[in-house]
Amino acid sequence: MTSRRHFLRAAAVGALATRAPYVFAREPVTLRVMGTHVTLREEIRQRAMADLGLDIRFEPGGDSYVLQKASMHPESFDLYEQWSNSLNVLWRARAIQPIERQRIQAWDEINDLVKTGRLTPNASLGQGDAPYKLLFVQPDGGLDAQPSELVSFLPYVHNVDSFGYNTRVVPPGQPYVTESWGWLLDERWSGKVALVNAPDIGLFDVALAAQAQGLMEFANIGNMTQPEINKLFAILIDKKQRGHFSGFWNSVPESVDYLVSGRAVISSMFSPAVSSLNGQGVPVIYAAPKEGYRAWYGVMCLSSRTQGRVKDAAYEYMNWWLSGWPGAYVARQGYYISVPERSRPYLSAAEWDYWYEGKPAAHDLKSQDGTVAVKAGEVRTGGSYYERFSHVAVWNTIMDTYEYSLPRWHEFLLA
Amino acid sequence: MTRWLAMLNASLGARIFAGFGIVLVILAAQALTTNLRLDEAVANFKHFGHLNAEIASILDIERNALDLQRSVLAYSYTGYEGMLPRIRRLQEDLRAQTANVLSATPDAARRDRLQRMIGHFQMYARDFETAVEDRRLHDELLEEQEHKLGGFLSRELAELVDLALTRHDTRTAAEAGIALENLLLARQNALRFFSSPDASLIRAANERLDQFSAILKRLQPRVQDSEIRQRLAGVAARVSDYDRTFVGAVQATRGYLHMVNVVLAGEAAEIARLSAELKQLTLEQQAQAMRRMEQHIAFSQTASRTVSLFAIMVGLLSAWGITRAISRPITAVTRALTALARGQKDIQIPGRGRNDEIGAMAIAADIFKGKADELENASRYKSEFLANMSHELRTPLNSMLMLSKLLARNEEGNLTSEQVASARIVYDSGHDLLRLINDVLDLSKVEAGRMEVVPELRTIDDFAAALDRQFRHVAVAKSLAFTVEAAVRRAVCSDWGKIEQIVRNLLSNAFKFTAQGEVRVRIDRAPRGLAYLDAELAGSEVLAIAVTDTGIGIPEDKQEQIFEAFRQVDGTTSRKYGGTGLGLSISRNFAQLIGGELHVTSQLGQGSTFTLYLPLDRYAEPLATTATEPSQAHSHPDPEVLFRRYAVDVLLVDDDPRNLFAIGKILQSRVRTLYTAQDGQDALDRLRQQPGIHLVLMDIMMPTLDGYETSRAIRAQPKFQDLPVIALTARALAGDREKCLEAGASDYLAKPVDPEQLLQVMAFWLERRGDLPPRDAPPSAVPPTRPPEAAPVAPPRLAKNGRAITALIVDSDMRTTFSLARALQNRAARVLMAADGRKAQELATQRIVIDIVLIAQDLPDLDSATVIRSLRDAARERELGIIVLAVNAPESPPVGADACVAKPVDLEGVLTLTQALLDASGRIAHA
Repeated sequence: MTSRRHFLRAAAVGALATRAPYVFAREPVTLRVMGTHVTLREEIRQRAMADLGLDIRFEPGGDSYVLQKASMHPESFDLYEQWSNSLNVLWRARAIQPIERQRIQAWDEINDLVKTGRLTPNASLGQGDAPYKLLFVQPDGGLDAQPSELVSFLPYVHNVDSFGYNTRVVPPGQPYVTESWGWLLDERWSGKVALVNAPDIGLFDVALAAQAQGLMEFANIGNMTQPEINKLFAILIDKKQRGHFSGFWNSVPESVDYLVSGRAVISSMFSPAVSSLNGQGVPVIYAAPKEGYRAWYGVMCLSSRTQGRVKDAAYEYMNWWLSGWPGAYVARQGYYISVPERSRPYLSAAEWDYWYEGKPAAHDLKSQDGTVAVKAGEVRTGGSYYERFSHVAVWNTIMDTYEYSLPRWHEFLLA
Repeated sequence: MTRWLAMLNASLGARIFAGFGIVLVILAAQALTTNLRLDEAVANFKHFGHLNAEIASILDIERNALDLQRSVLAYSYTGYEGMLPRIRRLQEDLRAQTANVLSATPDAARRDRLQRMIGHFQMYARDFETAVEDRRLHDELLEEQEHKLGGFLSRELAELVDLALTRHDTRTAAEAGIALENLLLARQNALRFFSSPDASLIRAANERLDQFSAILKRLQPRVQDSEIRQRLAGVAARVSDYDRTFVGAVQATRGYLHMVNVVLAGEAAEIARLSAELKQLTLEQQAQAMRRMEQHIAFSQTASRTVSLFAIMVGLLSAWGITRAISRPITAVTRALTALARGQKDIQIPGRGRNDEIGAMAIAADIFKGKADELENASRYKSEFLANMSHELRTPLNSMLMLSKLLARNEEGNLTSEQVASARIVYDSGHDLLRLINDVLDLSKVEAGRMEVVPELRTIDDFAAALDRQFRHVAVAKSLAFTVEAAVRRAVCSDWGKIEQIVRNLLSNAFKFTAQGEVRVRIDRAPRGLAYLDAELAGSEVLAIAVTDTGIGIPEDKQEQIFEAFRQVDGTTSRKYGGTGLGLSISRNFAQLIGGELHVTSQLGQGSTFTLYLPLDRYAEPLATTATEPSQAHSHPDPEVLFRRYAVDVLLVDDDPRNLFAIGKILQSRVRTLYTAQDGQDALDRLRQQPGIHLVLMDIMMPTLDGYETSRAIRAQPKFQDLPVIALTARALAGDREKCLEAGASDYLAKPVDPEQLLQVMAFWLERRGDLPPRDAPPSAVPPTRPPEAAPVAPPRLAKNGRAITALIVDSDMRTTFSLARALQNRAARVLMAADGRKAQELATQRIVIDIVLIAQDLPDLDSATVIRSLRDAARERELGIIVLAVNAPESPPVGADACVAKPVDLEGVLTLTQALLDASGRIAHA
C-alpha cells in the first residue's frame, strides 16, 4: 500500500507540474501516432491527452506494416514510433522531417548513449547500426554521428535484450561470467529452446549463440555476409531437424506462454515477459550474457507532412515523453528512458534502485497491471543501467543481407 | 446362518441344491462380467475406430497445409495471381476440415489444439491477404518506378544529351550523359535488387541516384538554353518521385517477403507443430484405448479362467461331497443289504447315526435286517427239522418200497394181476413220496446251508450227450422234437451233479408242459452285457444253458412266483401236470449255490425259456477228480449168476426190524445164510461167531454202537481187513458217504435201497473176494432167521343198515382214486370212479343209489361244492355220506360235506369214518 500511495502521489505531482505550460491551446488538435504495441499503450494515451489537452490517436501495428505505411504514406501519421533500425528506410523515403533539437527541452539531459554511443568511456560500442550513427542530420542530407542542430529522431525508450531461462530446469549462471548466448544452442536444452520469429533480431540471437558455441565466427556480426548467413542457417536447420527448437514466438504473451506451459525452458525474450513470468511464479532469469546484449533504441520521428499546429502538438508530445512520467511508466516494464533523472521522481526509491541502479528490491515491486513483478530482495540481472549498456554486443540492425536471410528463415522455420 | 448350516447338514437335497446353486451363481457372475467387459471392449473399439478416422483427417490436413505453404511460396516468387483462388480455397478447405474434426472431438486437449489450429488458419488467411497486398504494391511500384518514371527519366536525359549536342553545348551533353549513366546504373542496381534482394544494391542504387541528383542540381543553373533548362527542371522534378517509389517498392518487397517467409512460415510451422501434437495425442489415446481393450480382454480371460477353474473346483468338490455324502453311504448300505440277502450274518447297517435321508434309510434297513434275521432263523430251524426228518421218513419208506417192489415182481407167482397192480401202485406212490422227500430235503439242505459244492471237470459235449440220452425216449413218447446243441466244446469245471439236476428238472418241466412242438437245449457263452443279480457274474465269462419249449408258457406276473417253494402258477397245475412244485425252487437254489443264476423268459401260450447262467471259470481247476461212485463205477457181474453159483453168507445189521424183513426178503432166496444183527454190538458178536461171513450190510443210524463205530471195530480186526462192508444209510446228507468210507466201509448205499442196486453192489464186492464157496458147500452152522410173516386178515365189509353199499370216488389223481377203490372194493358192493366233477354229476343222474361219496376238494373242472350240491340234489331225500379229501384239511367240513379228510389219505381212517357216516346216516339231518 505504501508504494501504491507513493506512486499515486508522485503521479499527481507530475501531472500538476507538467500541465501548466500547455493549457493555452485554443482548440484540441488531433495528433496521429503510428507505432508498435511497446509504446502505444492506452494508459500512456490517456495520460498524454490529460496532460496535454490534445486529441491523440494511436495506430499500433506490426513492425513491417507500420514501416511500410509510414514510408509510403507520410500523410497518414504525425508521429512515428519504432526502432532505430527502421530509421534509414523512413529517412530515405523522405517520410520524416528533421527534428529541431532546440525545441526539445530536455535535449541536454539526454544521456550520451545515443549521442556518442557510450554511457561510460570504457563501454563497448556494439556492432550494427548504433543509433548515434543515425541521429544527426548532416548538411548533405545524410545521417551521421557528427552533432548538428537537426536530428532524425527523438531518442527515448531503449533497452538491452537477451534470453530468459527457467531456473527450475536450467541452473542459474553468473552474469557476464558464465551466462552465455551459447546456451540457446546447448544440447542439454534440446527440444526446449524457443526463438523470436523475427529474423531482423532473432538472427542476431542465434548468431551470437553460434559464435559463443564456437561453431562459427563472424567478421562483423552487425553486417553478416551471405556465406556467413548460409553457414549459420546450415547449423540452425541441422539443429531444428534434430528437434532442438520447440517454437518461434510472435508476441510477448506468446513467449510468456511458452515458458509457463513448459514448451520452452530457455528462449529469446523481451523484458516485459520476464516481469510477467516472475509475476506468475515461473522463476525466470533474464540472462546477462558474457558476450554482451543485443541492444535497441526506440525512435520517435516526425512525419515529413506534418506542419503548423499539429507539428507544434507533435513537439509537445515529444517533450511530454521526456518529462518524467512516461519514462517511469516504461521503467516498470523494464525499459529505460533517455532522460532517467526526469523519471526518477515518478519512481519509488525501491523502483529506482531496482530498475536503474541494479540494487536489490527493497520490497515487492508491482508491474503496470498490479501484480508483483519483482519480489523483495531480487536484483535485476545484468546490474545497473550503466552496467548493462556497457555490455552491448550488437544493435538491432537491418543488414544488407536482410532480404537474403528471409527465404532462409522460411526454410529454417519449416525444416 | 447356523440354522442354514443345520439344514444343509440335515438334508442331502439341500446340499445338492446348494452345490449346484453355488456353481450356477459363479457361472452367472462370470457371464455377467464377461458381458460387461465385452460392452466396454466394443465401446473402446468404436473409440479406436473414431481415433483412426481422426488421424486420417489430421494427415489430410497436414498434407493440405503443406500444399498451401508450397503454393504461397510459389506465388511469392512468381506473383502470378491465377494461383490466388486455389490458395484461398485451400485455406477455406483447411479451416472446414479442422472445424469438422473439432466438432467430432470430445477430448479437451485435442480440442484445444484444433481450436488453436483454426486460429492460426485465420491468422494465416489474414496475413496472406496482406502479403498479396504487398506483392501487388510491389508490382505496381515497380511498374511505376521502372517502366514509367525510370523510362521517362532515361528517355528525357538521352534526348537532353541529343538536344545539347544539336545546340553544341557539349559540356551539358557530357554532364547529362554522366547523369544518364548514373541513372541507368541506379536502375540496374534497383532491378538487381528486385530480382535478388540485397540491401547493398539499394545502397548502390541510392548512391547512383544521389550522384544523378547532384549532377542535375549542378547542371541546372549553368544551362543557358531555355528549352534544355526547362526539360532539366522537368527531369529534376520527377527524380524525387522515382526515389520515393523505389523506397516504396523496396519496402513492399521486404514486406511481402517478410510476410511469406516469416509470418506465414511461422504460422505454418505452428500449424505443423499443432497437427503433430494432435497426431501424437490421438495416437496416444489410440494406444490407451488399445491398452484398455487389451486390459479388458486380459481381465475377461483371467476372470473367465479363474471362474471356470473355481467352478470346476467347486463342481468337483460338490461332486466329491455328494459322492461322499450320498453315493458311498448308499453303496455301503446296498452292500450290507446284499450281503444280508445272501445270508451273511453279523452285518452292521452303516450310516444309522446320520440325520439325513441316508440315515433314515439305514434305520429302515436295520429294521428290515432284524426281520430278515428272524425269518432266517425260522427258515433255518425249519430246514434243520426237515433234514432230520428225512431219516425218519426214509426208514419206513425203505421197507415199503422194497416190499412193494418184491410183491410187484410176483416172484413166487402166487399173486393175482390185481394184487400185482396194487403192489406197483404202492411202489409208485412210495417212489413219488421218496422223490418229494428228496426234493424237500434238497431244498432244506440248501436253505440250511448244508449243501456242498463238489466241482469236477466235465466236457460240455459229454453233458449234452447225457441229456440227449436221458430225454430222447420222453420226447419220442410225447412226439416232440428234441434237440441238444452245444456251441461250447471245452471242459468246464463246476458242480456237474447239481447242473445236471437243474437241467433235468428244467427238461422234465419242459416236456411236462409241452403238448406239441419242440423242446430244445442250447449251451453257449452268454452274451455280454446281461443283467445279473450277482455282480460277480457280470464281470466274468458266463456259460448259458437254455432250455426252450413251445409249451403253455407262464404269465408274466407269475414268472417270479414259480421259483418260490411250494407254489405253482395256480392250484390246478399240480393236479393237471403233477409234480411237487419244488423243482424250480431247488434249481434256483442250486444255481445260486454254484455261483450261477436261473432266468426265465416266457410268453403265455407260446412257450418258455429257462436259462441257467454259470460262471465258466469260477473253479480254475477241479478241486479233486471226484471218485466215481464205486457202486456205479465197476463192471457189474450178474448178481443172479453169482448167487446161483456161490454159497454166500451175509450179515445184515439194522435196528429196524422192517428193514431186516425187507432186505431179508430180497436176499433170502439168493444167499446161503443170512445172519441178522439188531445193533452194532450184536453184529460184532455175530462176526466173532461166524468169521466166515462173506459180506456185511451195515445200517449206520443205530442206537448204542452206530454203523461208523461198528465198521471201525470190524476193520480194527486184521482178519476183517478185506471183508466187504456196505454201509446203508437213510441220512442222505452231504458227507455221509465220505464218513462211511472213512469209517472203513467198502461201499455206500442210500436208503431206501433199490433191490437191483443192492444186489449189484453186493455181487461186485463178493466177486472181488475170490474165495466164495460154490453152492454145494455146506451151509453155515446157524440157520437163518426167518423173517416174520404177517397173518392174512379178511377185510371188514362196509354196510348200511346191513346192506352192502355203493361208493363214488371223485378225484383227478388216479392214484388216490385207485388206492381208495382198491381199499373199498372188498368192502363195498360197488365202487364208482369219476376223474372230475362232470363225470360225477353224470353218474349221479343215472339213478344209481350212492351211499357214500369220497370227493377231492380240488377238482380240475368244477368247484367241489357245486358237485356236492348236484350229488345231494340227485340223491333227493336219501341219505348220502360225503367225505371231502382235502390237501389241507379245514377245521370244519366244507359246505354240503359231512366230513373232511386230509390227503394223503389214511385208508383205515377213511374206512372207519365211512362206516361211522353210514351208521349215523339216519341221524343226520339235512337242511
